[in-house]
Amino acid sequence: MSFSNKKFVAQLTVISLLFLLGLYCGLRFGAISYSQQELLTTFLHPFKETATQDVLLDLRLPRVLAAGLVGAAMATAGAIMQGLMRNAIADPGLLGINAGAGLALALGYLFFKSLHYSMILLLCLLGATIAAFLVLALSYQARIGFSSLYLLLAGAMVSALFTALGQGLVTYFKLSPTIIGWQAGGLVGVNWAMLKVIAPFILVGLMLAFILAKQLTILSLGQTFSVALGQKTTRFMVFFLGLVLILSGAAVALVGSLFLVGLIIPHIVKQWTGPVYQKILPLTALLGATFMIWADLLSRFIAPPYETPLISVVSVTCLPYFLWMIHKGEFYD
Amino acid sequence: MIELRANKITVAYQAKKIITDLSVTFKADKITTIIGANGCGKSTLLKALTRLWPVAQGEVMLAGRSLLSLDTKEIARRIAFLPQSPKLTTATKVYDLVSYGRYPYQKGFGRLTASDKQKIDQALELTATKHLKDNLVEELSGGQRQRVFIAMTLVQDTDIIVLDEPTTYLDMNHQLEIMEILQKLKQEENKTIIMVLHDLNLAARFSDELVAMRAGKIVKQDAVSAVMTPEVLREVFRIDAQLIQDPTSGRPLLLNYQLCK
Amino acid sequence: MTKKRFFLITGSLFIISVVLSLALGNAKLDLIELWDVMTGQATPAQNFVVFELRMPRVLACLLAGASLGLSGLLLQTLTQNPLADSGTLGVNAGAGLLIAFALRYLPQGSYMSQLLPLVSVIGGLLVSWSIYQLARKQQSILDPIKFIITGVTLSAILSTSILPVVGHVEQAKLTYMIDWLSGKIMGDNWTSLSLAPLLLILWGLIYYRSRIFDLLTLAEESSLALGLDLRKARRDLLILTSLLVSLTVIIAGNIVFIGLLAGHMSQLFVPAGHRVRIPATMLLGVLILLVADTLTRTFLIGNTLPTGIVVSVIGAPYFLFLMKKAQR
Repeated sequence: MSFSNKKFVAQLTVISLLFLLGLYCGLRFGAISYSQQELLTTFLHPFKETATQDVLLDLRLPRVLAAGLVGAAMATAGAIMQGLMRNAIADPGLLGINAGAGLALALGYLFFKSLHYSMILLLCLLGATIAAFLVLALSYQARIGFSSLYLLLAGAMVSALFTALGQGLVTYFKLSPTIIGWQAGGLVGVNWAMLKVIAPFILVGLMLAFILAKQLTILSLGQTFSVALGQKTTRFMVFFLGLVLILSGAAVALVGSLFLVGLIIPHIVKQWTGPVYQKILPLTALLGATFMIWADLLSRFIAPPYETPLISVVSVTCLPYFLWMIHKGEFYD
Repeated sequence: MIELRANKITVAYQAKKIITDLSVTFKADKITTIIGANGCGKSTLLKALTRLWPVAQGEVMLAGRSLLSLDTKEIARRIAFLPQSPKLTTATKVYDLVSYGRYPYQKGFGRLTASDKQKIDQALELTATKHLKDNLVEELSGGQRQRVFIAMTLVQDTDIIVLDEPTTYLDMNHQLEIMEILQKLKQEENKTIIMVLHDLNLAARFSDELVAMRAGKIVKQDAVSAVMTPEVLREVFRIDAQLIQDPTSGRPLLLNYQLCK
Repeated sequence: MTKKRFFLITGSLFIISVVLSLALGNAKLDLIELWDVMTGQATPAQNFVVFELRMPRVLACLLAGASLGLSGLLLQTLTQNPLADSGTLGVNAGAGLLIAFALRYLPQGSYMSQLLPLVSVIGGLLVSWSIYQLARKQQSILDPIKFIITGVTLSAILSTSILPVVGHVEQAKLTYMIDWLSGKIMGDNWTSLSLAPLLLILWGLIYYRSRIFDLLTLAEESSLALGLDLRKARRDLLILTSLLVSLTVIIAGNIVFIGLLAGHMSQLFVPAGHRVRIPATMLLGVLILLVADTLTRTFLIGNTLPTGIVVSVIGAPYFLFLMKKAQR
């Protein structure tokens, strides 16, 4: 095994341990904290109806799993986006995907009284796609590609427009305020029914991304190189963009608004691995999942029984790092 | 007669010394041009001389007083500075831009007095831009734009004008226009001109004195014919220079140059 | 367009809009009835509509439109970029986030209306100070692109925390925050309008500095060479702008893009110094907001849409159009 591979395995191991620890703590602690014994008993007898089981298996387990899935999906989507656009500021949240999904949901609730989870997912994906295409089309400059400034501005504007339209629809047609609650972000109320529908998409998306990661490495070198190396560039670009939309759209369907995870996690991982996406993607997914599980735990643990909003926990932890990145000029074109 | 002088100055940028222990005096009522290779510290020297960049050691003296002891507006009444490729991102009319040069003399709200307006008109005439005064600066050609910015420095009514590469990126005819305006300013208005030029022949033709710099130090400061010699040029630019005498101006002319062997 | 013609046209449009805004709305008054109100010959009901409902609303739009327009102009001067606006650069979000905290954690009381402006101001100042510090390099060098990037991202991230911070516990508070976030003009009452003198003072302080702000449009070296105290000028600009915006959002909620639209249009029509552009931009800001608000009130009766939404739906595409132009 070469040195860099050994390093990679070491990194993978460390993060996996953190992940498993996070899973464990996420289940054990929270608004109500359980002892290790209670945890073991409940998991060994999953169908025995107790109060503990209600919390652990019906509420907490799906929630912790959802946190992991969302973290992995968002982080990986961000990593892929950054590779495709060759810009470190690519984050699904900042580029309008949240707002697109929100508008699509508003339209959905306009026409249907209630929406099945699969419809929600579909609408989120649709909205995410439209928003993403708008942002990319508006910010692309021939010969320059995607500059940080215009990506951000286009993302902010498309978000502003879609958010305004969505809010307008909700207010004017007196739609359910659940949309606004959803957009506030968070994993409250995640259940197995949702996971059953949405989780497969995330897992399949992640798998596909890992398998074809090598193509992404070539793509991230730039059009000239990738074509010279004989890659069918357009095909893979479309493919990976599709993966980004599926992953982030599904994540948004679970968690509502989320920012920065897709930007920071890949950035950290890249410091360790370099621009090798075969290594970046698995590590990013794992680190993203770990981060979100711990963040969700924090949101439940800080001020029980109240929930500190998940998005605030994520913002408070990620924002300083992000501001430091700006200060260092990481986004200088 | 206001003299600008630097006494043993050291200027640094982010812990790296650009200029070390440099002393220079600029003669009043003369055109002095600083020449040197990229990175030798020419622009930094200009910025240090005009208090636009702090001096780590030593001091810059204006008419015998340290720059640090003078109020910034007072310095602006004595030294004008034109940066390289001055930018202007807001749509502005020529007349308005030139009027900004009166800022060092204005108080409070900043209405233009009759004397302000007179100076502005004079500057516009001197730079032959009076007919452009209602145009937008962004609509002008490179040469016109530069003349307008020079008009802005003129309106500052200073004895000393410092210019950082005022002719780079300009067409040849526009370069000459600028140089002739500067010459006129020296001869008719008794202004002291200090500038950095890239074009050696232009520098030789229009300057009274040359200051040759290399790696943050002055190699030679003297009359043009004393500085435009193969020895100095070899040290400053690492070239083997062939010089002749310009039949029209009598100044040295760089005919050709080779890489040093 | 000459300055005279511009002010003639916008001035007339202004008067027409004010009159129409007083007349139009849920209860329609025709011009004769309006004249009766003005001369004291109308019914108490009509008087009520005009003096208690319409006039405060129109005044709120006046104050907010002018202030937001002015803040946009100043930010565009500071960043030397036409794509600047208080909403885009995070000042609104900062003010809003602190308002959310205050709503959530401070006990409800009569002093809330006095406390909110203060809280809002702190939030706005904090955000703009942070952005400035992050975008500053040594000496007086300001990186405008960094400024914009930091502002835009902070705006996005901070605003998502606004609703979660307020929480679902008290419905009234949540509704207030949602309305604020959508740009609903809730300050159309004489209590909120008591902020007016503060705004007028700010306008005066800003106008007095017109010359200084002119110099900020030049390259940094040029303005320094002209004897400008660059650091102080920028600091003053940011503080005054933040104060202006923070107080305005108490009256008008989170309305964005007015500054962008008004600033850009004033540069197009009257490319002059700030002495002319400040009043021009303020007038344009008032016009845009007043027209948007009156149209929303008149044609969407029943389910009144927050004016901020209407302005955003117009403003965002306009911004994108400007952005595309700037790219070339």
